Amino acid sequence: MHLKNRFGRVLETVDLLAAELRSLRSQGPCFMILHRFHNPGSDCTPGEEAAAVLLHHHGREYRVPLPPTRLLLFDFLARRSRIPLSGSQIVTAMSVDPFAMRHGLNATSSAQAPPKIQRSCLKIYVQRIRLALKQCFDEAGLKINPHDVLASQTTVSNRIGYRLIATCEWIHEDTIDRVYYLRLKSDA
Amino acid sequence: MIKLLLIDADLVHARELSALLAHRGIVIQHVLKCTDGAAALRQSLPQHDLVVVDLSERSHPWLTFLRKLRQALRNPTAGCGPLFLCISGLQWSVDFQILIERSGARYAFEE
Repeated sequence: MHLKNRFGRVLETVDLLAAELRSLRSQGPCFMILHRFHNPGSDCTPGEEAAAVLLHHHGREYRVPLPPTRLLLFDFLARRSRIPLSGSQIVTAMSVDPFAMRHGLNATSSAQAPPKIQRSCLKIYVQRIRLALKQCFDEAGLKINPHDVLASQTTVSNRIGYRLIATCEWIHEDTIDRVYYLRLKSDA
Repeated sequence: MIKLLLIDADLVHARELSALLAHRGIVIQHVLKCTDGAAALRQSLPQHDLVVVDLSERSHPWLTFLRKLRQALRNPTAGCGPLFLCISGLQWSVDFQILIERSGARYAFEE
């Protein structure tokens, strides 16, 4: 058999992996942020809850093990990933951000306050998000340094800005139900 | 430029595959054994982009080898480490292929 035919599938897969690596290096890993308590028919609105962050790799999903407050912080950083934000900028912006202020309130009638991020805890939250990312990358067999995904970027002063370098997609729980319903319908 | 580590105990097979990969502008480092592969991964700077492991030998504990290769990559300064591809001229069972894919590597069968 001709060598090119014999190794055809191997060469195709090498090309695929090379493209995958280029994409990972230029755009970062791909995450899906799942929102629940969505009002059907509306776009993404305050009152929803960031319920999960899932890493997409090799056609599979891997959950990033984050508790609610860090999920909210991840969601916030993903929405503002264009420029690095310092700790005080994050805390100030989150305190007036409608999504953070009304986080998960669609699901509860009581005026329970959503989790608040304290300036003093932010560094710890960032470290724990990196730890969760590392666990998730290890599970997916991906050798990515979490510091390259949730990056600390320096300025000319000693201030550090945090920036999420990743491709993020938001998906709503009722949208998922609808997708599965349409799939079932088309399969039937 | 892509830097690839090829772990292949069959010299002729490795030479044929290397020639095709070199045509694609890929720089190849070939080693015969997994232990040499682990050493190459530990020492290489800049690190490899892809690692291709030939599984055309049924008696080897490949999943253990793959785990050892990954452990050899413990380099905290690395941005995004190599991706793994397992190739084989033998048709492995679907269960084994799933285990390979679950370990984070891809699998391709030579036709």
